Amino acid sequence: MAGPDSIETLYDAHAGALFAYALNLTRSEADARDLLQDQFHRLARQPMPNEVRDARGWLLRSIHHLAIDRIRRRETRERTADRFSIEHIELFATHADPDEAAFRLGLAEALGDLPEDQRSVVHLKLWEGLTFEAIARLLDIPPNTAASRYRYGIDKLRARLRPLYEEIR
Amino acid sequence: MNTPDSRSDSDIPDAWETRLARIPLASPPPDLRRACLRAQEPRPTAFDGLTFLRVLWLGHPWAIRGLAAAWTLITALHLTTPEISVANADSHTVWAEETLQLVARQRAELMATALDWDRESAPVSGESAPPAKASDRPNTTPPTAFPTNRMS
Repeated sequence: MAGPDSIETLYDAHAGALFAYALNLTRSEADARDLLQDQFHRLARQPMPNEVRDARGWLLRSIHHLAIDRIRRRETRERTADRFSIEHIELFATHADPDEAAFRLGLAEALGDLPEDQRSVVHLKLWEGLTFEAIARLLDIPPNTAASRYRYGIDKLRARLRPLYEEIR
Repeated sequence: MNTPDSRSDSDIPDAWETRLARIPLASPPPDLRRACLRAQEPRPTAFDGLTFLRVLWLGHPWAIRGLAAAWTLITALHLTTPEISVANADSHTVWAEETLQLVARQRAELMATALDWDRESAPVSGESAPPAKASDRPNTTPPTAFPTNRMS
């Protein structure tokens, strides 16, 4: 069980993945920070249930719902205020090589252009290494849907980044 | 570049996907750890309205339940009792012309009867009763100043 004493352990083990996932979904560092804090504050108040075997999956699922709520609220607010801001986010670790840095920047931007549902599946598949079954369970969607969303997403990334990739190859 | 065909229906990533997956994600900002773990520390909770209600509810469950029962009873009685019409003093009833004339006639007759009764019950010994004032005389004509809501 993940009691209050083990929050530090949970943080050290999963915060990086949770933050990156929240950042990729919300495309806002401020929102990702808020969501991660919110997640751990919730854990402090209400520890993870005993029956949870896959802590990473449980936490990803939880932060996914928080992120979607946040995105919906933000969209409503932005529609009301009639403003759409595109934030530059540091989704990937920095790299000294300018070509590689440019590729990573291009990838981060290309991910931002994907619809949320495709972006979340691509992220969970590529950077969390989850199977489509696991992604389907996490997002409450059928495995075939997860696979097709991934295929659409990865094909868009491939088309978008092909010139950049060939240039640095 | 010959990017391989998408085999993304399978769980096995191709070279392109492996290339992407190998890119490390950024770490969360260092200060975020402290902010997240601060949640473990006991924090003074703001005593807002919700907290007050929660404390009240947990501290005095029978009082709250009694209040709830009373209000339920009041609401139920209110909903089940048929509505009783109450005469409204402000409402203006329009009387028919015949009714007004009938009431005026009856009033005049009653006045006349009352004055006759006064005269009969006056003392007879010695002195005669003082002449009746003009205003004491029975008025057989319908009063013109009968209080109605109408100007006529």
